[in-house]
Amino acid sequence: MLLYTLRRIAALAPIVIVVVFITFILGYFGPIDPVRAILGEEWEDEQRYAETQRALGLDRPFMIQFLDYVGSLFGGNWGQSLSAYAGVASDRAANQGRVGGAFFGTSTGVRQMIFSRLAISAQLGLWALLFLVIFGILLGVLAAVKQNTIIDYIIVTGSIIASSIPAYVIGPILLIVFVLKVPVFKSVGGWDGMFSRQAILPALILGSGPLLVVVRQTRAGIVEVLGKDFVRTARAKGMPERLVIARHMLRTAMIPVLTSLGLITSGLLLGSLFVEQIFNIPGIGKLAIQSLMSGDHPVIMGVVLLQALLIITVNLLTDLLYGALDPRVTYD
Amino acid sequence: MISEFEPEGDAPHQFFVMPAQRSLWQDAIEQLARNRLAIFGAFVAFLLLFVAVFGPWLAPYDYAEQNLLRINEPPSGDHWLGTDGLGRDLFTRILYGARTAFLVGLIVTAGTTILGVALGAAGAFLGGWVDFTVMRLADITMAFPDILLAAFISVIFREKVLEAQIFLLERYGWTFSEANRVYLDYLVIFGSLTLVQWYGKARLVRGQILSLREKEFIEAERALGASNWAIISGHLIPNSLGPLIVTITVGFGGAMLSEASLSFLGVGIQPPGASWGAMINDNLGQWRYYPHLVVMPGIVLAIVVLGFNFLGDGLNDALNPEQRRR
Amino acid sequence: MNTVSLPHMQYAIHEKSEASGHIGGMMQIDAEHSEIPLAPVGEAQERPLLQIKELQTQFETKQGIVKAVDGLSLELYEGEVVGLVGESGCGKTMTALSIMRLLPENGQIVAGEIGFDGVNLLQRSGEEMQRIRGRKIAMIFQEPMTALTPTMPIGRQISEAMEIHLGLSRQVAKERALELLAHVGIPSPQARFGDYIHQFSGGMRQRVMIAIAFSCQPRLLLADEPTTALDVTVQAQILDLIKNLAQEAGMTALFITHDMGIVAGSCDRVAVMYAGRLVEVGSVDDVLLKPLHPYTQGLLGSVPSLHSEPGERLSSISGLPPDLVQLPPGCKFWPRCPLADERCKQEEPLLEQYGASQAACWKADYRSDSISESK
Repeated sequence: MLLYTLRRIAALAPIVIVVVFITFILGYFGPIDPVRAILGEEWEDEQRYAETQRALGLDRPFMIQFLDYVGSLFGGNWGQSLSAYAGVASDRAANQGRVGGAFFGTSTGVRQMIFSRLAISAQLGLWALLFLVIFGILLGVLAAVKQNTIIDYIIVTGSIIASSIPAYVIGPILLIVFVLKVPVFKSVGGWDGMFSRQAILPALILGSGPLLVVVRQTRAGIVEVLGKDFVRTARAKGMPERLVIARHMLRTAMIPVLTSLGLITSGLLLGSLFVEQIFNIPGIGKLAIQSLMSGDHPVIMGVVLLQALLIITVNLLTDLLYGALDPRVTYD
Repeated sequence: MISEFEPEGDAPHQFFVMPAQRSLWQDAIEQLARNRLAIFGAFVAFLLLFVAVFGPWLAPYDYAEQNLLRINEPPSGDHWLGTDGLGRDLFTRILYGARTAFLVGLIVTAGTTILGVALGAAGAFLGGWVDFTVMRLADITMAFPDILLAAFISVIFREKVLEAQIFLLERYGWTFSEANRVYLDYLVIFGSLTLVQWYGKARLVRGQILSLREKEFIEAERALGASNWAIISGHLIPNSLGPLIVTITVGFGGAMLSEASLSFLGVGIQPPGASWGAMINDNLGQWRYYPHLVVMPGIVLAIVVLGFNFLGDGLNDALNPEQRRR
Repeated sequence: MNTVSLPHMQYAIHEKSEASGHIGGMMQIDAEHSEIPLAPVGEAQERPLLQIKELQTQFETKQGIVKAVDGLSLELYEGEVVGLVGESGCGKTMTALSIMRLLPENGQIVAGEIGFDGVNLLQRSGEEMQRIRGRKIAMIFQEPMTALTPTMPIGRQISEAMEIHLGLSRQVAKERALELLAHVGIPSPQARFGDYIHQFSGGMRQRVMIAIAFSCQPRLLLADEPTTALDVTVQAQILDLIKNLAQEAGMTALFITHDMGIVAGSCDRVAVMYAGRLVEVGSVDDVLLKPLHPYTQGLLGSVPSLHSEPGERLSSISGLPPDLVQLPPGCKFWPRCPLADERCKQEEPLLEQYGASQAACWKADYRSDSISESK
């Protein structure tokens, strides 16, 4: 098991390096020249341009810069936001960002910027995950048990609808309904902690995105075991149907669901571009959009890199988890 | 145990009537025709095609025509769906948005299909380092969050395309009218989405080829001296076509959705180009006061995305009978 | 029986098992009890424990309606072991599943009555059936590879039913499950309690299955080809185990099999099934030595005996089992029957008494005569 884990990690190393490399390339060819961002109008002064470029280390060859980037990543330094260089970048950010800089503290270190928002995104993601797991599995089981009936049909079609409509369509519609038409919520938008009312709508919308995947997989898993001999044995023992489902079917049927829940979780915890944009939640997604608008590529690089690394890690973890869940799987 | 009974000719009481031989495709079409949601999806797809092609003739106004005296109007006889913040007719802009969506769907799907089939087939047939490289590339592309990556790439692309445009202007004196800038946006979106969405098809094609290669009947045919081309045209294409059609249908909807998403994020279609995602984004700030400006394009986008998903779902049930929901 | 206090438990049979104590006790009296002769048929003949009347079970398939069980009547008296014999596909398993009311979704009991201990099981609610399954009627399935849940430790699979039916605490149920594991011959039960089914061999899996079936001391055991899927060497062990356990508990059992050897070694009576109905019923001695129905004779003929001459051809039944969707008129066996005449093709024979056993055959009269003459 340990050997297997180590082998898997070793196999991932090249992928991680390439991911970092691609992220670096994206940043290297980024739309904004940091030197110009710092110098503002003065960038046409060739001497000053060269001086600043040298000061930032941007005059060095591509590979040297890349190695430097990798080195500082290991040292916990993810670079500096362009807004650190008072000038064009931060102005553009202030002009284009819907919220302005007020939310986002003052630190300009990319890592600090990202991790200070991670908590908010993760809290929201946790609610979404809770909603998703409870409803997804419940509906999936119900659809499977009522297979090919109107209930099954409604659940599956409803999940397709819930999952296909993008957050930026359903979000505003829900806002209009629950704020203007049936005023359940007085104020919306912003973030007021995990247990405030503001968290409800965004969490529901965030969680309904992957609903179809969970419902489908749960349903398929249960349908697959429904006619199995061991289920008949459990019934022949006189187990109540509820326990037959919970103990004998779900555990077997859940294995594929749990593995894909891993990826879903990483997506939910890192925040959503759209939900955070619509509900004005200062999480990672919002940070990514603002950086995108202002062309603050060190920050986008940081977000992209974090997400990619998380996806890779979660893939590894689900693989290992698979063995823990299915006693038949052995590692060699 | 019932299935153990086999037709037996010499037992006098057994009468077996074999059903008339029907092809997978006939079966699939019948199956699809029974699926009401898939029919709805097909209807939406055809309507979208129609509007995309004939939109300019259907539209009562010009998509960029502003009327600052009549901004943010609710639906009326003049403006069926009202007007936006610049006094442009919302209905017209939604029709033109269909054009954008369909074009993106078409070109991105074509791009990803060509790229995916070529890379997947190359990996499967050539094997070795080619296969290794293709699959690692797919792994890596998959590791990135796709919308964010596409957004990042399109920001970079836009800059490069603009630079190229300036270069062409200075070097050769080529100019582009203001309207042509919309086509630059298209170019940016086609490129970035194709780069981010190719891997699904590549994996599918590679998987199909590899699994078919393992099949015994292929070995048997090879042993009988069938040529590569006979196997490809006789087995590979018919076998892969079903899953590929499903992937293409779903991918078509996905590409349109991605375009809307990029435009919503402000890195897709730029004004004055019409895109449903951009229209939602433009009017989102005023949802309290002019909800219809957000809801109308939103509903249209939702219906189209749903239509393609229903169609893809129905096609999946019809074309891949072995995975058909029981 | 310390913790058990369900009201509907005062059966004569249970006083018997009460006397032998619970499973722990059973181990000690193992040796003594194996000497006890089989409960003689007819001792408690007033009321059968299981009385199936005119049972009809059908399946909807794409080919049409399959009459898996078609007017079957059978009685099982307290303490007897009855063998239900026939080719695969003749409806044996469906009979057992009808009794359990665990038919697959496309199956349905369309007519008849299944009396168990005086009540008609077909009129019980789902909840009542659930209390009967496992508790009063247990079933052992054919395929131990797939009949046990792969993701649950085997110990839990044994103990959970006792928690439900006997109201035992988790701890007590576990202790009893450990005793059961030891009793069915699984070495070091403590160590194997938490193991999963894929870690066991076929024979061991079937032992687990048996432990589950016996865990709540049911009154009726339905064993559906319990040894068919096992290695020949293990078959006899498993069969003996079931036989001994059933005997200890004084349990009534229905052995479903296609193997006349198993019937000869384990059963008191035998019922031969063909195309969803019974064609011959009688004591094992009568049926095996003096088979009345040509089908029974065919089944017996396909088993080599000590009297077979070397090189002698085993007789077998020609043709294949009938298509249950389109059954022939008259006797269902006539297309394969060497004795069939016009009457057999027109009229369906019913079960009738010929000597000691019953048979459904127009030629049974003649056969029983000729057999007795030749004796």
